[in-house]
Amino acid sequence: MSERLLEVKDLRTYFKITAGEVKAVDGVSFFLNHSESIGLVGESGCGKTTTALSTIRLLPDNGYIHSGQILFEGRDITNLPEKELRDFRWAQASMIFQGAMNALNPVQKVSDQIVEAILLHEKVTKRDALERVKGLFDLVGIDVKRVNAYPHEFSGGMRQRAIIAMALACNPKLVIGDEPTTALDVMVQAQIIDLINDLRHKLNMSMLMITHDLSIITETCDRIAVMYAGKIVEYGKTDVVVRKTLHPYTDKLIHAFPNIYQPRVMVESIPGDPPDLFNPPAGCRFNARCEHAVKGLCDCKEPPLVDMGGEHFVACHLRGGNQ
Amino acid sequence: MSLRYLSKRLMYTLFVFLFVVTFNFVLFRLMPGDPVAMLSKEIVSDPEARAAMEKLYGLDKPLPIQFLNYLKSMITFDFGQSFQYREDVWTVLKDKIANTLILGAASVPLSIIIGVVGGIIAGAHHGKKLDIGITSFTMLVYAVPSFWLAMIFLLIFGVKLGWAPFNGMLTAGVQYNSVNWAYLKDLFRHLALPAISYALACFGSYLMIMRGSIVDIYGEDFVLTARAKGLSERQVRNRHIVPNAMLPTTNMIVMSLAFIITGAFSIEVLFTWPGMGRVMVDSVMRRDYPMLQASNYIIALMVIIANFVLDILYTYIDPRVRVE
Repeated sequence: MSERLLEVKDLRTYFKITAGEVKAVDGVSFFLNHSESIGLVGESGCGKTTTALSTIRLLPDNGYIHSGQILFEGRDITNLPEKELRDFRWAQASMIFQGAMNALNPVQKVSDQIVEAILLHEKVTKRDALERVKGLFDLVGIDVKRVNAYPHEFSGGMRQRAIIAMALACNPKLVIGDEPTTALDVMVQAQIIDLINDLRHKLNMSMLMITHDLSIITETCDRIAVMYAGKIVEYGKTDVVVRKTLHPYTDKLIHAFPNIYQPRVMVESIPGDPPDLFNPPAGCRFNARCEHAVKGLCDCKEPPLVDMGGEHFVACHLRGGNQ
Repeated sequence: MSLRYLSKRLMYTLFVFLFVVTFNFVLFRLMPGDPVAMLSKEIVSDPEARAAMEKLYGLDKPLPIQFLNYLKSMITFDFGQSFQYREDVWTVLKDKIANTLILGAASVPLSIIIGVVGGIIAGAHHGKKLDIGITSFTMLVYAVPSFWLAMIFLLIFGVKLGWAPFNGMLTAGVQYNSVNWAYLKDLFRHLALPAISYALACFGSYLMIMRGSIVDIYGEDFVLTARAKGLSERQVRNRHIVPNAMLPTTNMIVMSLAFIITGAFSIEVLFTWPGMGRVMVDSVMRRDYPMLQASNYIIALMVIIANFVLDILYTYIDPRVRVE
């Protein structure tokens, strides 16, 4: 078994719309080792969710993987037949959805929805599956007595815990967290992050975390990949990226967070809007909003993702060191 | 389902019933005019005869007593004499209701099945050719007035092709001593055309509601969850989408069941089906007030009962209703 659990190579995922194609993910590469976690961070519409959905090929009808490879333990997911793909989902890679939304079926018991996943992938009796659900409830901190509850009988935090329990039901090798703490209040958010961290260590699980909230990634992830307009602009170990930030966009993103230890100042915002992915700009996609942009370079030539040493990658003409 | 919920719904149902009945009573007392004067001009001029008349109809008693008498007769289904049949209203009406129910039982399940299954198929192929085909056909049939549709059916299959009779419930002049095979065969042959026309007239609304809910629910997050779990499209549809889409559709089906009893006026009239719908149309024509009042009362009763049944049914299909 290779060390790499997941390796995404030059992934391009496009969406067909009436006017043509939207290049939501345009040449994304990253990897994830066993029992490591990686965070994809970026603004809305930068392609982070599309990247995540591509890894289990759960794209909407008009989305498709144009090219690239997604290697899961060396097996390419992009050309898996339908039946094998269904077996792969949840048993190998599961997802933690946003619990505040309607991620649970409102007319089915929560436990039945978890049992359904177990029975689908494993040859166990319903009774055994239900026993496992009880164990999972206990693991994520829901009272086992609530095993017969329906989603509406749970609070937002409990629903999120139940969704985490569901994601763990088949002992997957990879868990993808799609904004698992968004729309929860701050106290509950902290509890859920603690729970995720706790489970990560207990179960030794690998995780792909998608969020627009950098603080969550710094708390839960070993690696961070900053995405902008369908591309990864900076990628590396979390503490390195946060402390020795290279890309101007990452820099802006970090400064867009208030620091409670420093004097109170207005947080910075990033001027302008993310570019249109239907018609992306030439050169570096961030050039129009970047204060360091050099005319004739940044708006003409696309910067490659270069290794700056110590598995720290950046895609910037100025910081990448090969002007 | 808790006993508390049941008793609460029962109380509510009883309250609505009393309200409707009282409203019906008050409405007629508020109408201008003298009921005795309606019967005969001579009686009004003669005080003695008038008093006798008022005594006969209970009009000499105070209003509260009149109300209680009225309530009693409503509960015991004593609706008085029909003007046109010169017979007890309920005796006439109950046979007509039975006939209408036969027609309803033959056509309504058919239209529910076509509507629900068609709606699921159309919704699952949302935007594709199959959906456009089903939806266009449904809209066309739904938009066409049911009496016109029934006439076309009658003309083509009844008159031109002669596949099935289109007149009444049984072959005229034939006497059946009991419910035997020959009787049923005759009944079913007569049932074919009106039942199919009726089903065609009804299925559209079920289909459109079902399709609409299916399409809505396809966009829900839990559908994505179900797919992520590795369920096949078919499993996602049958286990997660359809049970949720059935909620609004069930609501509509149960409510429309209440109106089965009134029958489809136009279809009963066209196929001379001796049902309740036709009786109501006749009663309007002939100013048969007791008959009309009784019919209205029965319709109201059915709607109230359907509502109650729906409340109970909902606790089984939608867990969110169980907590009050």
